Amino acid sequence: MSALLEHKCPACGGTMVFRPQDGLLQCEYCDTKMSVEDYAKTQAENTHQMEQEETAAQEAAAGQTDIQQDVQAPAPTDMQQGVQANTQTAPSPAPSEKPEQDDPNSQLSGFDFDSLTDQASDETAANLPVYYCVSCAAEVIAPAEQVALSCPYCGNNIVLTDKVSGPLRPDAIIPFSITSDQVAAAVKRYYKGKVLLPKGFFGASSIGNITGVYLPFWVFDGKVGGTVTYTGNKTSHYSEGNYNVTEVKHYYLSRKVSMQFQSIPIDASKKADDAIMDTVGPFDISKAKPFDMAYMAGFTADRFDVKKSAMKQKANTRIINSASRIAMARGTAGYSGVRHSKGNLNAELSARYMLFPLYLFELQHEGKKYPFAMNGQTGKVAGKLPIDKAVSRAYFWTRVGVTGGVLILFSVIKYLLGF
Amino acid sequence: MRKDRKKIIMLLLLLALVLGSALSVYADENWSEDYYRAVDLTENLSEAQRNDLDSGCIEFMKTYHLDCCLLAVPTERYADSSMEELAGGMFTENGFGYGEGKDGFSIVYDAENGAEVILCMGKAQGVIDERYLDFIKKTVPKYQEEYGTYGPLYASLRMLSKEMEKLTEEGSYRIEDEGAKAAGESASEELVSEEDTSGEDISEEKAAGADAQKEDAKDQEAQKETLDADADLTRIDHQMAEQIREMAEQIENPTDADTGTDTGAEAAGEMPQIQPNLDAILTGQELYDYIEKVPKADLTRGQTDPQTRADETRTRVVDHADLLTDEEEKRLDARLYEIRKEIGTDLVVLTDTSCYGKDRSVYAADFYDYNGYGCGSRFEGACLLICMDPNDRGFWTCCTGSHTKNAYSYANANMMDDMLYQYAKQSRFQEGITDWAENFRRLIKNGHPFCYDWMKGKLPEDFTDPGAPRIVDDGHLLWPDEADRLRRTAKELSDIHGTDIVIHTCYNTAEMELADYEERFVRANGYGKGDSRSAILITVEKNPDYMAHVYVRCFGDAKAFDRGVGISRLQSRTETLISDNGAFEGLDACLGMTDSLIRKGRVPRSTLSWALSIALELVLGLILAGILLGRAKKRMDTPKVEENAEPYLVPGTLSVQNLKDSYISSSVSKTRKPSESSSSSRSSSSSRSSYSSSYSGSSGRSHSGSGRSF
Repeated sequence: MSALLEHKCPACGGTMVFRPQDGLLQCEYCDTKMSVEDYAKTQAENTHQMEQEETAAQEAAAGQTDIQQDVQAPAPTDMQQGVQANTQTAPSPAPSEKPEQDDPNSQLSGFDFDSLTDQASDETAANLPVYYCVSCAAEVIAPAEQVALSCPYCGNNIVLTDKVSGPLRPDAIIPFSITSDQVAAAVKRYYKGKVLLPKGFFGASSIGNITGVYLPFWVFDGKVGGTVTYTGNKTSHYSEGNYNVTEVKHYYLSRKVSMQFQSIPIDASKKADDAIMDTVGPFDISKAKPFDMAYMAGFTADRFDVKKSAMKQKANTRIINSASRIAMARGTAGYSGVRHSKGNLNAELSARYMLFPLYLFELQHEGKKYPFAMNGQTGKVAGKLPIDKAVSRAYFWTRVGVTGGVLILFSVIKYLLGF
Repeated sequence: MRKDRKKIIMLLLLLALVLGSALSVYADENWSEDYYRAVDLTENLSEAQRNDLDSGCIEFMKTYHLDCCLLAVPTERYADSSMEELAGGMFTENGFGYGEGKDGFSIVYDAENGAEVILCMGKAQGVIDERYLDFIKKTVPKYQEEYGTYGPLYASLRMLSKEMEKLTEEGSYRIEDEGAKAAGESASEELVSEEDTSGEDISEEKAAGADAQKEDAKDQEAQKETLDADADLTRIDHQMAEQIREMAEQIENPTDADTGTDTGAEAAGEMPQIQPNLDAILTGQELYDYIEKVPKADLTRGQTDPQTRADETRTRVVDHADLLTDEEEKRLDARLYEIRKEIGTDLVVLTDTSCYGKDRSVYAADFYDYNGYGCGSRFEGACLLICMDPNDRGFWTCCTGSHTKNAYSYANANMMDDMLYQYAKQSRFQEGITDWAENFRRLIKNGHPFCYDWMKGKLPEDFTDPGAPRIVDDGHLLWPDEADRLRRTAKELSDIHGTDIVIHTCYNTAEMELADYEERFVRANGYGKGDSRSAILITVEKNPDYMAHVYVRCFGDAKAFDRGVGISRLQSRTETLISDNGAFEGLDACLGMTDSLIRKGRVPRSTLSWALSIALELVLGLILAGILLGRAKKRMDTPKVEENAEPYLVPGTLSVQNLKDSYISSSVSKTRKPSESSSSSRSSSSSRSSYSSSYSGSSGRSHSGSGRSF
């Protein structure tokens, strides 16, 4: 089985693309529409039929059809071999069948990152696998993290199945709900009211290509618990004769804390700006669908390439920090000068690997590039906007002038009227 | 036989005369002067008024041989009894009453309700018609409003006196000694009986007819009395009002006839000895040489030195320090004379270059005592000493007599010294002394040194006085030429705008409400133009230690100018100008601003005020612009990395159990409470007087006083 997947129309063989507006797959040529589930069923039937035909052909003829796949890498890595092996031999296991990693240090269950993640991020250009487009047989070299792309020659939508199969298969995907046509309007709404932008920043020509891409996210759930000790004070004031007395009583406060967090998204793509990714959310996890490559038709997709330790650290930090703050606030009410004394909170984390829809684009202004992202589910736009100093100054002094002028005029009128 | 009869008659007559004289002598001892006949439980009567009433009661008793006592009470004093019981109790328990029968009247007046009871005791019963007594009770309360508690009591006494006088004139009431009367009666009876036994017969019909005629005559007389009583009552009412007015004035302003007479109990209960005037007034070393000669025995008895009582020829202004010209001295002396006549208090001024080793207070007291100054039995009066000793310049006011000392309280002393101090600092002694005298006059007459005559009495209706000065500098903030200039300006503006513009400076409002003070000032002095009596009054209240307070009030049609913030701006700006530039500059500017207020409806603002206002508005603009810029920056939605996960906390999963709260230790800190600052800001002023409520000079007589160095 090919590691490339093209979504072909079952009616005419044309290219199927996923339509965010209605969540259906549509043929670009014959406009045949069907849901992802129906398409998957059709594809499974076709595959089964093809397999039966192959078997019959094999029995009838004496040769085998070779799969033409020429791997130019000097030596396939374990990961690739594993991927290829997985793609060649068996369908990827269902997410529920993933092996659990017992690593007492990480306390992270769900995905086996150890061998996969770090190795994947070590791939260099020289080691990149080469794919051949099924439609035009052109060589397609994809970045290590890229999962879905368009053939640069014929424009076909290609899914690199080996990168989303087996252990690399996402748990779920949130399909696009916003079409690329809506991006411009959303951007317009976004920069409306942002008066400190340089002039012409959001002009029509300044927006570059808009790319709909599924970006990898780890969605963490966490259980936090532990016993923590604080020190705190209670202060009382009273009068005694000719003196004002202040008495401060010091206490040790011991608290047992437990709480749970759910669906904390942390982006797992190096190239994505963390601040933009955090800002463009939230994503409605409840609308996530079980992963199906059909949702990626017409879009590009990336898989995770951030190291496990970094993600775990990030998730742990966020959860523990929040839990500590909440525990201190709730557990030491009535005390002042509270400080953490000893004891720590521990988190048990579980993670799900999901793909979130985003439109990425860049704005160029005065030689600088400004990355932007739009939430493919909610339409929220995020990006690092420049603040024009001249505009800020003009804005400030205009308001000083107007406000001061109005007040002065008011006082003059008041004076003239004798008030 | 006839000769024997004549001898017996002569002996009897002689006996009657002897008995009569004996009784008359006895009659002088038939009343006790141990207690005051006028008792005031309401504490509204002054000492002078009480003494006067007491004198009147004694005079009444001496004249009509009927005692009279007066009691003024608040209602609560007889809550458990009745006014009659109170009247009777007072009369009997104090031993009042004339003669053995304890005859007399006991009058109790309820000052709160205006109710009166007149109890007739002993022979006083039936002397005066009950209807007249009711008339007295009904009439006298109306004198309370104007004359206080003194009015009804005095009116009661006078009305009783008038009625007794009338009855005596008519013969209805005879003032006879009991013994002589008894002797006379018995003698006449004997004569009658002797005559009867001489053999003349008097027929019963003739005697009965004579009796009947007598009865008829009495009835007619009684009827005539009844008819005349009503007419008399109205006449008496008006007479009483006039007499009360005269008498009240006399009490407050005793004449010469009242001086030198012993009308009250002396401290030692004895009359002061009056010796002839000396040729010269004693001051300085001469005075103390003289004092050395006074027998110590006199001093130890605490008697006043029986040297002299100053008459009108003795000057009240002794200017050894040469602070006044001759003309000023004469003028001042004349004014002190007028004041003495008016208030019955002897004001004396002494200036000297030294106090001859004595304290200023003692020197002033000795000068006053040993030169015989003072009015009345208590030598009421005050002496102002200004000592120009280069090493110890200062002044001292020495008060003598209970009335004067009571009036010269610490607060009043400070106020008067404040004013005098300002003059003394500027070496304006003539004005200062004159001002002191006028302040003292008001203090004694009206109870407050700055309670002017226009603050008392009824306000005149529809009174205007175009000639009244429009700049009244009672606070002495202006020089005469400054006052003149302001006067001209005010008149100009007044003529232009048809509104009277008046400036009044004062030390304070003498504890009167400001609104009442302003109202009285305008109405009593006749300010205001036109039918509506349009006027703008600018009152400047300033005492030396504090900044001026300026109050502007509009009357009549001028009230139309009092809108918006014009008046308050006028007041505040004038206060600032007076404090910064002085009274004249401030008031001159105030007149200008008043003109602007009337013409344009607004008070001009100073350049500084505009600059501050504009600066403040620009600052507000900066602040607002800063806030708007901050909000604009926030709207830029700069992305930031999420540091916390609190939005992802699963509801209902948070659990924080309190395992243990262990007490470790405690720390205690104590700070001393700040002490209370002094109660009154006025008391913190540096220019406060030295005050003494009681001290003695060389004579041993008690004085009070105050003074300052300058």
